[in-house]
This record gives sequence, C-alpha cells and structure tokens, in this order.
Amino acid sequence: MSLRELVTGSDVCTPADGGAGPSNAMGSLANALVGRSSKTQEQLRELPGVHGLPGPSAFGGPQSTVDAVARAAAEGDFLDIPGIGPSAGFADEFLAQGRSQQQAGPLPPHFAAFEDIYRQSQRVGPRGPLPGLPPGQLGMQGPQLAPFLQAFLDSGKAGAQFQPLPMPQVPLSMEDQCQIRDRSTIMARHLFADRGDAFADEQVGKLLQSLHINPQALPAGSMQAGVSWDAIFHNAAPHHLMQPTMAADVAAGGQLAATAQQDSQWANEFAQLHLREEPSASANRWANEFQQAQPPAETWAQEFEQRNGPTSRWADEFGRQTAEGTTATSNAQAVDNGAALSQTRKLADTLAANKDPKFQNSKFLQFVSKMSRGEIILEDNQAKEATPSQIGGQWATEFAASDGGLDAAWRELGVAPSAWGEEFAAQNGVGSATGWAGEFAAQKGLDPAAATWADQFAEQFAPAEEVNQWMDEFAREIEGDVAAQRQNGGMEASMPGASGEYVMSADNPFLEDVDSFAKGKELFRHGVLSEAVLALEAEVQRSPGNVDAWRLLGIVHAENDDDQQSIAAMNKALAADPTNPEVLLSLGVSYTNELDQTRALSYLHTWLANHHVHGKVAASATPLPDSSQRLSWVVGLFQQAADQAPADADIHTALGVLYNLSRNYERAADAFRTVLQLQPRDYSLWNKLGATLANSSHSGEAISAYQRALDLKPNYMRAWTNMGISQANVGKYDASARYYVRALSLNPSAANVWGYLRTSISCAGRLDLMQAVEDEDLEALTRAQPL
Amino acid sequence: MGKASEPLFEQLGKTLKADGEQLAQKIKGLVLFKVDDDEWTLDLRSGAGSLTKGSPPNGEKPDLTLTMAENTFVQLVNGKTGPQTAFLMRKLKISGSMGMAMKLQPILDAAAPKAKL
Repeated sequence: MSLRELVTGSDVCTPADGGAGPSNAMGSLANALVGRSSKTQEQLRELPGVHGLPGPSAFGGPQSTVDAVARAAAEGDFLDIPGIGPSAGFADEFLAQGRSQQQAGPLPPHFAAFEDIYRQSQRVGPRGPLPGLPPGQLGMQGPQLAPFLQAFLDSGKAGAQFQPLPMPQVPLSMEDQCQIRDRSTIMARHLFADRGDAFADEQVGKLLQSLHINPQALPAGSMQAGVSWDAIFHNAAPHHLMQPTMAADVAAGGQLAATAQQDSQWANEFAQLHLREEPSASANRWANEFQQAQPPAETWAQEFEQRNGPTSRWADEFGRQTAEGTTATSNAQAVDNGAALSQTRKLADTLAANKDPKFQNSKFLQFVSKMSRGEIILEDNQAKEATPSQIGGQWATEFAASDGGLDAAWRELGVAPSAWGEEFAAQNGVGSATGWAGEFAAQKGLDPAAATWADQFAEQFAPAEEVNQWMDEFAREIEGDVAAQRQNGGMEASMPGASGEYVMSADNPFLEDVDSFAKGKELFRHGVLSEAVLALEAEVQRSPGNVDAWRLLGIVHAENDDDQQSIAAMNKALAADPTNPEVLLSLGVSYTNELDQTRALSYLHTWLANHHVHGKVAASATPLPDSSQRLSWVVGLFQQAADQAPADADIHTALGVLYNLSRNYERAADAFRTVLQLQPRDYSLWNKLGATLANSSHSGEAISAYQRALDLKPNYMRAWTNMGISQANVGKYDASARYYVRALSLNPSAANVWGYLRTSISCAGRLDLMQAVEDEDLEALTRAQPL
Repeated sequence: MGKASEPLFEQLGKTLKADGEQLAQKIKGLVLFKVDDDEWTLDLRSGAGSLTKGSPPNGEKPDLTLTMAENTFVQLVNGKTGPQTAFLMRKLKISGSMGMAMKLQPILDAAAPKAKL
C-alpha cells in the first residue's frame, strides 16, 4: 500500500472514510502485496494489459462479486464484473489510451525514454521529504510522516520487529490518528500474514506508540462506535482477497478471451516504439519473432479448460469463453499468444524489479513469474521438462493452496475451495506445488558460513596459544597471503593500496609544518577530512612511530570511504602498538567492509583476547570444537562478553560488526541500537546501523539512520556515499546522484564513488550530466544536482 | 578512463571472497561478460570462483557469454531493468547456456554497491 494512500486516505481498506477507492484492481492487489508500491502501482497501471480496469471500488463485497462471476458464467457472457467493465469498454479505453499516447505530446524517440517517462511519473508521488530538509519547512504532518511510515513498512520485509526511531510530537487530528491506526492495522495484517495477527498488532502498537497515539483514546474503527480492529480487518480483507481472482482472471485469462484484437494492436504499437529505437527492425519482424518464439501450443488457460472439464462449472464456463474468444479472433491468435505472454513477462519483470522480499515471496509474483516462465522454458535450449500443462497445473495447485480468506470466499459460492485445483493438479501429474517456491527460496537463501578459510586459519592458530605467539603466526600468515596475491597477479593486487602499503599523497604542503599533528587533529574535528589526511601524513612521515597519528589517519580514511588506506594506516599503528584496542577494532571493521572474513575475524578476536575486561572471557573459553565453526565460536565469545557487560559500548559495537560478518543483520542492528542508546551522538555508529540495515535490504530505514549520522557530522563522506547507495536501492537515482556528488565534493579521489555516480546518473537518465562526470567537474555537478 | 562498470566488477570480485563458493555452487560455469569493449571472465566452476579482466585464460570456451552496453550492465546491476527485459529489448545478448543465463540475478546482486560500516 502506498504511502500516498496511507497518508492521504484514498485506498480500499477503510470503508467509511469517503476515500476514493481503488483506481484499479491490479493496483490495489499490488498494494496489498507490496510495502511501498506507488512505483509498482504506476507501472501496473501503464501495462497495456491492465489498462481497462476503470472505476472506483465496485467490489461491493465478496458476495456480490462472487455472484457476478457466477451470473456471468451462467449467461456465457464475458466476465461482466463490476469494477472491471465489459469487454467493449475495455477495448475502447485501451485504444483511446494508445491514441492519446500518440497525440498528447511527442512520442519518445526510443523505448528507453518511453520507460523513463513512466519512471518520472512514479517519482511524483509524495515519498517524504528529502532527508536533508528540516521538518519545519514542510509544514504538514503528511510528508513528515512519510519516511517514518516507510520505515514501518520496511520493518516488515524481513519480519523484523519494528524499531521506531524517536519521532517528534506531530500534531495529528483525531481523524488522522484514526486513519493511521486503521490503515496500519490492515496493512500490518497483510504484511505479517505469516506471523499471525498478534505480531501484526504488536507492530502497529509500536508504531502508534512512537507516534504518540493512544489507541484507547481514539474512537473505535473508522469513527464508528463498536467496530473492533478485527471487524475493520475482516471487512476490508475480502476486497483484497477477492482481487487476486479477478486480477488474475483479467491479466491472464480474460485477456485471451476477448482482447486479442487489442493485443495485436498493442503488439503493433509496441513494435512501432521499438522500431524507433532500432530503425533497422520492422514492426512485423518483431511481432513475427515473438510468434516464432511461441510454439503454437495452447496457453495455460486453454489447457486449464481442457483438463479441468466438467469438474468445475466456473472453470468450464471460463474456458468456453476463452475458446469462443479465441475462435472469434483466430486469425489474430498467434499474435495474441505472443502479446499475452509478453505482457505477462513485462508484468513479471516489473514486479520482479521490486526488491521487497515480502513481495518477492508473494504468491502473486510467483504466479506471474510462472506465466512468464512458460515463455522462458520454451526458449530455453536446455529444454526444461516443464510443459504448458504442468505450468498450468502448478498454478492451479498454488491457487488452491492460497489464502484461507480466498477459500472462504469460494465456500460462500458453494464451490469446494481447493478440490478443483487439486484435481486439476492431479490430472496433470504435478509432483510438488512448492517446487518452484523451493527453488526460489534456495536461490535467495543465505549460505551459513564459508568453511575453507576457517580450516586454514585454525590450523595455524589454536585458541590456547599465547597471544604473542599467535600474533607472530598471524603476521606470517598475512605476509604469505600478500605474497600469494602478488604471485597470482589477481585484480586485487593490482589495485592501489591493496598490497597493504600506505600510499602517501604527493606535494604535501604540511611537510615542513612542525605542528602538523595538532593541525591534523583540528582539521579532523572540523570535518575537513582530505586536508586532515595531508597534515597527518606529514606527521607520520616525520615520526613513523606515532601510533595516535597513524590511528587517526586510519579513522579519517575510513570516514572518507577508503578502507584500503585505512587498513594500511592502521597496520602501521598496529606495528607500533600491537594490542591497541581502537586499532584492532577499526581493522576488524575495515576488513569486514572489504568482505575479508578471515582477517576481520582475527583482528576482532585479538581485540577481545587483549581486552582488559573481556580478555578473561576469551581466555576461559572452551577450545574451538571444529575449525569450520570459528566464526560462530568467536561470535559466541563476544555474545558471552556482551551479556556480562550490557553497558560496555565497545563490546556491543564489536558484536555488531561480527554479526555483519556472519550475515546476521538483524542481530547486528540490535547490537548497534544497544550502543546507540549508550552513545546517541556517535555518528559512526549511526552509519554502522544504517549500513547494516541497507545490506539487509532495509534501505528505507537505513536512510534515516544515515541522516542521523550526517546531522551529527555533516562532512562524513562515507555516510553521504552510503546514503547515495541506499537512495539508488530504493530507485531514487536522481537523489542518489545528489548524495554521491556531495560525497565526492568531500573526497574527489574516491574512484568507486565516481563509478557509482555514473551508475545513478545513467539510471536517472541524466545523460546530459555525463560529460561533467567525465571531466570530474564537481562544480558543474553540484550546480546541476544541488542537495 | 573511469567507467561506471568498473567499481561494480570490483565489488563483484570482492563479494566472491565472501560468497564465491555459494555463487559457484549455483552457477557452476565459466561466464564471460562483454561490456562495451571490456571483457571480464567470471569463473564460477569451482571453489570460491574468480573474476579476471580479459577473456578466459588458455583460450577456454565460456559456458555463457553476455554481451551488452555498459549502460545496460549498470541498469541491470542497479535493478533498474531485469535480465529478461534487457534480453527482450535486445540490449542483452546471450550466447551459450540459457539455463545459466536464467541464474544471472545473484551475480548481478553480488556486483551491486555495498554500504560500508
């Protein structure tokens, strides 16, 4: 459900607020499935196959809809379902749409631009203020709430507990409060359907609490006395649960039945667009190739009809209509097949582009993906075993296994909810309905832990050994690694600083300055990072044994998003002071960033072993049971130490880093949040929390954490860069470019950020700025992309 | 000089260190990227895999060759477009194992910029 609807109130969920109702069924369905979806919704609306879903909410409740389906089936009509519209209107509207696209405004020169226009229209929706803006400028609570509610939505994606960030008191009217309560309840129950209502209510409770809304103080549901939350939910739920049926009908089957004509028209139009992009290609060629890519095999809908036969009146009727429609337009059938499949594929792509894991796992996406996979499999020269009938069967099985609410709707109709689906599946001999889902899960699943490195490492290092002895061996191991890398001549060894040697800047104006250390510290305090680097480099060149100067230099490089140089500087510091805890911790962080688990783990373990308080935990630990368990063993030690010292910020910070290393992002975020309660003004911790959230697909929440870091330290180049990454992750490429430009104005030598900036500018379609990037003209870029 | 794809490939190389084994188990093949004029060889046949600039060593034949403009590669990694769309729009040319091409997404994810602690 989009924030726009959540905040402005025009969705289907709240029946009695006079909202506008859903503008289309597909959009509402997507809303129900996706967290943030103004983007997806817009895209769906633009999809040719989904155009003709006009009108305000005409889903008058499950009964009337079901009746309509039954009636339509009995009469042999095209599915004359309220809210979807008859086929004629559908066609007219579609054609009008096509015409208006050609008349209103110039047609984009090629398809990419065509796509960009869609994207731009999506960006219009209020998605909250730019985080840099002070809330006061925005006046209304709506925009102010937006990022907050986004965070609430994002919290659901991995089933994480919602951790509200502190929120200033926002003046909300009673009506607003009711709306927030009602909508978030309904939404939460959709989002957390797999976690149960209690969990959803708990999340909502937290949301309301942090917004300073007391649910008890509000009138019951939608300002109507005596309606409970449950009632609201159950009133709203059938609307949504019915929509998959309708939407699926329309998107997949209904199209085949009566819109072959439009489809071919659409295909032609698409081909024309395509033509402009590749002048050599002809519309016919494109359409023809599509046909060739499709064998004359039936679509799933036809399969469905044939297999299912008399077992289901509805399916039978539906299938007959499909057949009629197909016969009536038989000369357009081939194009129709191609176009329908391409539509589905486009739909699948659009949906798959949404990275929301909740959505990625949704049944709807699985269904659409399967539709599109019909085509993929046929094109696949490996000739996967799946046949159209199997695909149809899987779909039916899954359909039957879908939400209980849907089943309930079917029951009202007097049809055994899953019987026909199972029968259909049985006829097709489909083995496992969850096969595809399983494959998907396996793809997305995380590997527990790499083992080989741990083996190697453990061979050289037994936990009982003396720390110093271990340090020696470790140093030797590192040298060996570096040598091996040099020998391999791999990519890493060719990167500057990868050899582990610190690279000094040339032409350092501070070299003659005897006071360079003090100046370096002062510059660092004022956030002038690049100058601080020069001053500190001058200092360490004069006195290479100055641990603090090396350490500060390492910190500055980390804040400037240069882990290689940071590591090199920290190693110099470590050479002078082998057990310096800050240095060890910082090395652990930097190697974690560089995804070098072996070294990150070593330094963090050394940090613990040398810790004046927690060292005894490491010393008294049971020996490592098995070398492949090293990561979890070290994490266990840290967890033990952290449990004993709940108020020790350092141990929780280290624990958070370790959990990042083990990909346990939820616990990592918890650890950082714990430290932030102790040290709320530590900007690097806010950044660590943000990075943890971003790397676990919570970019929305990450953005607010980065903002805290930047509020505390405006010249924190790493946080600006991270902010840019997160903005790109949520599809705001323009904003992302602005943050990268800002980061680069702080550290123009960050080559990777220049690359990211190109990426975002290219995705934002701002090719006019490419020359400025090419010239590394920050002034022009800042002018063009002001923050 | 600077290219948008370079830091992405760099990130892919780094991610291999942590996730290479997992990726290799999924892909089990030699993938050649032809991005504009650059070639990158991603060897995911065994172990943790490796990424090297240039065509496969010893004249080995890649299991899958992906040819595209840099802009397309960037959009794929950023999730702005999907492999299937790019393929349909003829922006991504695939030769070799289609089955392997279907498993492209984890590779693209591995090349995406990572936030730093």
